[in-house]
Amino acid sequence: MKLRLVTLATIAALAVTPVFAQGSGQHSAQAADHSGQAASHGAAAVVSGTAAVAAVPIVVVGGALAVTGAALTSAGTGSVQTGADLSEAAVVPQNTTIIVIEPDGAPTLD
Amino acid sequence: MKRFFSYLFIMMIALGPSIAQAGSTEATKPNFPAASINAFADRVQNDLASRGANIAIVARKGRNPSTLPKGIEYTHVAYWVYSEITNADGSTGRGYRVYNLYQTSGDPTRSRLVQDSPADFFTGAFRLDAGVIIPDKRLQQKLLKVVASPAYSSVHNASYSVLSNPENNQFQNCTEHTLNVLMASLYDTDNLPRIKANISAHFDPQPIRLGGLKRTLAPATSKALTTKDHGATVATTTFGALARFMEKNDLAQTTYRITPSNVTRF
Repeated sequence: MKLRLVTLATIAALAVTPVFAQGSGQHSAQAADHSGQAASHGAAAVVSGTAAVAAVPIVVVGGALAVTGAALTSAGTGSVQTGADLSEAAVVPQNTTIIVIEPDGAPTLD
Repeated sequence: MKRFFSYLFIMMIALGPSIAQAGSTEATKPNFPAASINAFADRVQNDLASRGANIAIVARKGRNPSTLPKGIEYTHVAYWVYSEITNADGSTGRGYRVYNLYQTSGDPTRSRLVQDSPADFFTGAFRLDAGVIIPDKRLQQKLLKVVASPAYSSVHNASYSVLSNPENNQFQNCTEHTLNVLMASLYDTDNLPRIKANISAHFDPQPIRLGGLKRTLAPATSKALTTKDHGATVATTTFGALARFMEKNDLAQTTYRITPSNVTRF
């Protein structure tokens, strides 16, 4: 009887809708060493040392946009192979204490 | 008793492979030739530029959707930011840089904020198929302000869980960080308790159907599969949940799916 119960439980557990979403694993192309890559996230420009890419967000919204030059991956330069680590500047202790505060109203842009 | 442990052992083995693959930080081999990935990355870049998107939320399919729980189609989400780019050789251009939260390769329970290229973003894709949300222009302006400020990092929690609960800050995955940045922009704050209060009040996460035994045993396979930040039910941030939230509150300019041959609205 006990054996049947355990068997049934096993089948039931395995029959449940499976698996989890994939984590945000970095692929092999990004496996390069991050340690040499300084991050200056507080500034608009984020520069990575060994990845040697500087990217400055264009913050003026509304103009005509085009993808040009080195930004085109088919030109062979876009696949950077290494990521620029933005985390180092923000190693702040996370406070997981639950603080109950009243929410604001629903978000609106008007 | 001995028999019970035998069955438990068999169960662990049976559960192991699917879950381990699901949340793994193992390097994945590209599923497509580099030329196809580059061409698709450029197609998405050009499409975003033609729509005037200075910043967009883009999602990729990292796994066969048939193996994912109902309600999850895309497995990784990040902001794409239109930027002035300078490469090592001095060449310059304008295009998108991708602002990711990635699990660290050495420890899947930790994450880092990493910037890479559109081609890098799609290298691990199971299918060349992207979900795109272009925020309203006014929201784009707010998002750019946060992305270029310390607030972007301050709403990051490096404790990683694949199915993190967005209503608290115990764990975080890439989509939850995307949501935190969105809320920081909307409410002009980097105060996490306030962000979480607003998420709880206004955001509907995607419920995940998960058997009790599987939920119990999963963390034994990988600690990144913990669900201890949830109550009786499990619900997490997904691309679909983000899209619904933005549509409901008139925050999106457009939401669509792009493949190498088609662009379709959701």
